[in-house]
Amino acid sequence: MNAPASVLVVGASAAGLATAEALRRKGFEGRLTLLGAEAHLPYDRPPLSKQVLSGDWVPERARLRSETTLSELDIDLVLGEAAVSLDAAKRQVKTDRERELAADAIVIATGVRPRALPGTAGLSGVHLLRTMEDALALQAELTASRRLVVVGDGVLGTEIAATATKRCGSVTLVGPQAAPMEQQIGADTAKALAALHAERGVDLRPGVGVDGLVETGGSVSGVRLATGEVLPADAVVVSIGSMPATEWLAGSGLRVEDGVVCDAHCRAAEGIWAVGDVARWHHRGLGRSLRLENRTNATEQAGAVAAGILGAAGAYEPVPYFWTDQFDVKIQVYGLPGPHADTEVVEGDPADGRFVLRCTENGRVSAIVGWNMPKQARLRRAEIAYA
Amino acid sequence: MAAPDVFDQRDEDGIVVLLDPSPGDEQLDAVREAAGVCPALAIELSETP
Ligand SMILES: Cc1cc2nc3c(=O)[nH]c(=O)nc-3n(C[C@H](O)[C@H](O)[C@H](O)COP(=O)(O)OP(=O)(O)OC[C@H]3O[C@@H](n4cnc5c(N)ncnc54)[C@H](O)[C@@H]3O)c2cc1C
Repeated sequence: MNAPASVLVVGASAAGLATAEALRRKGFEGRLTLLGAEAHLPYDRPPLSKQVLSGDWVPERARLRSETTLSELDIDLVLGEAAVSLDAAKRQVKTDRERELAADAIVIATGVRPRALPGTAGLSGVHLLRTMEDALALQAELTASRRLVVVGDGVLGTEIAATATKRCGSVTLVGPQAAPMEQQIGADTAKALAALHAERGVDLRPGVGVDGLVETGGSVSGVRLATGEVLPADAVVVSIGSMPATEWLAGSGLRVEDGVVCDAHCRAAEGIWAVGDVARWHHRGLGRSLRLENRTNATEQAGAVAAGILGAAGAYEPVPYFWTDQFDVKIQVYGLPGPHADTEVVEGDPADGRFVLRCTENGRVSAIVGWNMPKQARLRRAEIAYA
Repeated sequence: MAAPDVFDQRDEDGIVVLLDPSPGDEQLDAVREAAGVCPALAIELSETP
């Protein structure tokens, strides 16, 4: 395929901006439009549950690029305007301001939206966390006298619980797993993480589902567990996963199944690509389709998509990677630990609060998990079977 | 890690350290790439001919 004369990127956050930058870095000189629903200049999300939520950073510090850097990219940056439909065959996008944008190549980078607990819309004191507004609204609720309950023991919920202890007198973390983040870091590391949280004052309620919220006069006053017990709460964060932002692709002609379905090159159709949290592509090394919701993937996949648009032939098959910072612990995860992996400490010692764990499945290394040993963990990434 | 001749990571805490503050032309692409992908946005590059 010849390099296109124009590219439209829909979604102006980590993945969309990184795609635009990678296109320019790789020499693309055509017309480049970046369309984003949020009115803000592109900002980064990982700090929202860390430095922004704790109040250590002012919101501006989470910006991905300065205004000067953005203007040097020579892009049409259209903010506060959302795509409402796509015609994949014509490569045309309609926006909520009744505009039609067409381009030779279109990149879908619309990310995900958090799932809410049914029937909780409009209830005061109930929060989701995805945007800067969400982070500031939640931050305002966290004060010493308040009781916060976090519903959901995935990466985000667990991280929010850790950060909230800095501002909140009482923090409870509820979730269905035996230990927080078990699915993402494996049982052994999750146990160590549970111990850390307990030691730092988080009240852990593992292995239990949530039935619903209790309301008093329009505000949340508690969380009802499946066991019937009610945990009193002044504020609740719901962190029970997210859904790809693909409603606008209805009728586009693209296949959407928990993400925009793409081939091994992250291509959804002729001239249509997907990148970041919204993209489900075929990972050749793993031999299956994969959708990753993490920051490093947003940037790396953007590089692959930009190269693909400009005619490069390589498939995208990264070693998945994410990090999380909780209290004074930095966890890095390369690969996918999986619940049935055999694990072995290969560096450091859990008793010293620093270690690297190797996960093996069917005789192949499936993941490397670092606990306060970022460099050592990174150096062992190469042991992963498809690295 | 992108541009391993220019950046390294400290053993104790993983913080990235700069090994070569003015890398040569042959490193330029790798350094640009590193600045582009650094998750902490900690790399600022000024290019003078
Ligand atoms: C609080 C928080 C903490 C996190 N911490 C970590 C971490 O520690 N480590 C890690 O690896 N990852 C972390 N992540 C995940 C990481 O931030 C995401 O993987 C990353 O933001 C994905 O980027 P994206 O551009 O694909 O999607 P998003 O960041 O979701 O961006 C999508 C953008 O598209 C816009 N959009 C949606 N629909 C439309 C439309 N129809 N038209 C136009 N624009 C639209 C949205 O408004 C949004 O701005 C965290 C995420 C959150 C929310």
